[in-house]
Parts: sequence; C-alpha cells; structure tokens
Amino acid sequence: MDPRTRNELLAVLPRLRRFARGLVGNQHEADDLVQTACERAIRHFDGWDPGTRLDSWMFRVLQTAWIDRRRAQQVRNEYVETVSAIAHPVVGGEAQALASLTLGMVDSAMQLLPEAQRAVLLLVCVEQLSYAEAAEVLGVPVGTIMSRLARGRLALRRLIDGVAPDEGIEVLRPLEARG
Amino acid sequence: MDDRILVAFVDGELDTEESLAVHLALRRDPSLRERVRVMRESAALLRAAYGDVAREPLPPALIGVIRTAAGDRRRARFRWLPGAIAATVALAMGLSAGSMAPRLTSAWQVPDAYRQDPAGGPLALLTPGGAPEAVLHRTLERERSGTSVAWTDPDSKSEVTVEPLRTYRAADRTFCREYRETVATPRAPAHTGYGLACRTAEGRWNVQYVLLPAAQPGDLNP
Repeated sequence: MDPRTRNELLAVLPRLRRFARGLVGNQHEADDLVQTACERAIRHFDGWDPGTRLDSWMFRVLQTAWIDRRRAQQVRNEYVETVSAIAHPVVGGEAQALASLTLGMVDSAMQLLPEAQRAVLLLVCVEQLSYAEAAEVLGVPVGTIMSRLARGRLALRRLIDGVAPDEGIEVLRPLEARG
Repeated sequence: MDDRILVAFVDGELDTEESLAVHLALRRDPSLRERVRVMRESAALLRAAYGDVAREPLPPALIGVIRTAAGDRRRARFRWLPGAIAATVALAMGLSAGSMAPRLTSAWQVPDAYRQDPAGGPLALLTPGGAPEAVLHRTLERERSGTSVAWTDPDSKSEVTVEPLRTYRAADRTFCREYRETVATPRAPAHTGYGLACRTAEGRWNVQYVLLPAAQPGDLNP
C-alpha cells in the first residue's frame, strides 16, 4: 500500500468507527469490527478500484464483515439488555444529561430496527451518502434504499417514544417543547 | 403519497418538478406534513447521537493495523546522547505540563486545535510538505513546548516551523507530545498540521497521527 492510500485509509477511519458504532451499539465491539474490516481490506486490497471512492468501498467491506459476524454468532435477543441500558443514571449538567439520555435512547432504538434499515439510516442520515452511493455500498437498488429509509425513519421515532421507560419520557418532553 | 417520495423529498433527492408536486401536496395534507417532520427529526436525532464518534481519538490498535500493513518502518536518523534525553524531556515536561495544563491520563487525546474545529479534518501520518523526519525528531527531543524551530526546504524554498505544544506521559509511561507544523510555501497559502508523536523505548518519536484541519482529503500528500 502506498503512503497516499495509507493516509486516505487513515482519514476514513473516524467515519468507519461511527458507522460501526451505529451498527453494533457499543464502541468496544464496533472497534473490533473496524479492525476486522481493515485487516480484510488490506488483505484484499486488489479488490478496490483506485478510480472509485475508498470510503464507499470501506463502508462496504465493513458492512459485509458485520453480516458475516452476525451469521456466525447465535444472535440472542438483546431487547432486555438494550432497554435496561437506557435507564442508567447520568451525571453532569441538565443539558448534558438530556443530550446523553436522548442519544442513549436513539442508539437503543437503532439496535431494535431491522439490520438492513439500520445500515441505510447510518449511511444516508449520518454519513450523508447520496441514495446512489448508499445503493452501491449495500449492493441494492435505489428503490430499496428509499423504502428502507422511509420505514426506518418512521419506525425509529415510534421506537424512541414506545421503548423509553417512564423516566426517559419525562426527560425527553422538554426537548420536544423547545424544538 | 408514497413515503418513498416523501423521504426523497426530505433528503433533497428529487428533481425540481417532483419537489414542487410534494410541496403542493404538503400544503393540502397535514398528515403528510407530520410524516415529513418525523423523517427530518429522525435524521437529526441520528446525527446528534453518532456525530461525536467520528471526533473521538482513534484507538492505537487500529492505527497499528494500517501502519503495519503499509510497511511503515520509520528509522530514526539521529541518535541522541542517553544522558541528555532524560534531562530535555524532563525539562519539557516541567515547563509545559505544569499546574496550568490539565492532567492527561491517556496518550490518545485529540489536540485542542482539532476539538475547536467541529468539522474536523483529514488524518494523516505526515504534514504535506513538512519538515524531514530528522528535524521533527530533533525538535520533539530537544525543544521546550512553545518554542518553534524553523527549517527551509532547499528545493521548494518553503519555510516549515515545528512547535511542540504540550507534553505528557501516557498510561504506559511513554512520553507523548503534541506539536504544530506550519508549511509556508512561496506560491501556495500556508497550511498547518497538528500532530501527536510518542517516544518509543528505543528513543524514536513515532508520529501517531497528524490532523489537517483545513485541507481536503485529496491533498494529503505533496
């Protein structure tokens, strides 16, 4: 790998970590996944066409690694675990507590969405890929991207409202009132 | 109206004519407006929830994977008198990381300059057009924080200054220093990289990463 590509790969890492974080729901596992993806990418580097975007290719490698991992694990029902994680006490100022709680709830709700919707939401809403780019990363038609995005976004809102324990809703309300 | 069209409208993926049609439909139908609001809000919540992850310092193991793959075997070209090393590093520590600077427990802190730039910037292992490794190493080894060292490239005539910013000791007892490297070329505007380098047991300074706040990913290399 030449120094230029190495630097480009390094520059993609922060976004790769963010994508992985949204997919798996905790940073430790996310970093493990990013490392696996990087190792795979480096091993199969001839699979990347230098005329195309390295970030899109890396998103794709990571997403594939994630799917393989999910298949290998006997996936348990993580529902109870994620919901109880929301109720952890938060220290700090009111605004910080509010923000932290909201973010925890978004993250928890994300982990309850179907995996295919989660990946599209992260690529388009967080990484700001266009529909065409997201379709290329995930290897599906643009129409599929659109329906997953629409369903995922409406479902996310319902999950945040429905999943939240009582104290969580208490905290969320002022935020909505301000907006 | 189809939710797929609504979501594409929210994300700006429709052409002018299609957008206009959605606008007209929204004016008539409050339930559509509500759906659009929820779609916008979901995207905003997601960005807020995960935005900071991309600004966190990178775990060393990840950087290690890429360095190893890239065959990055940097050799120090300067050797230092063992006795002088401890003295200079201790001096740098004493003067820069004293009572005013917050105590850092980890080597993987993001330099302040990066924190102040919410847009972040690309990461690299060297500042484009920066000083030769030897100059960088000598500066990090010898100079106090806040003292800049200038070096002029004999070929391009660009002037490079390297300035150690902060020094601290990582949890594994190695010394790490943040530094600023500014490159002023005769024809192009000056650019700056913010680096973090750590000193190995063998006395080499390994650059962990360089942040280029204003640069584009395309010009990471000179």
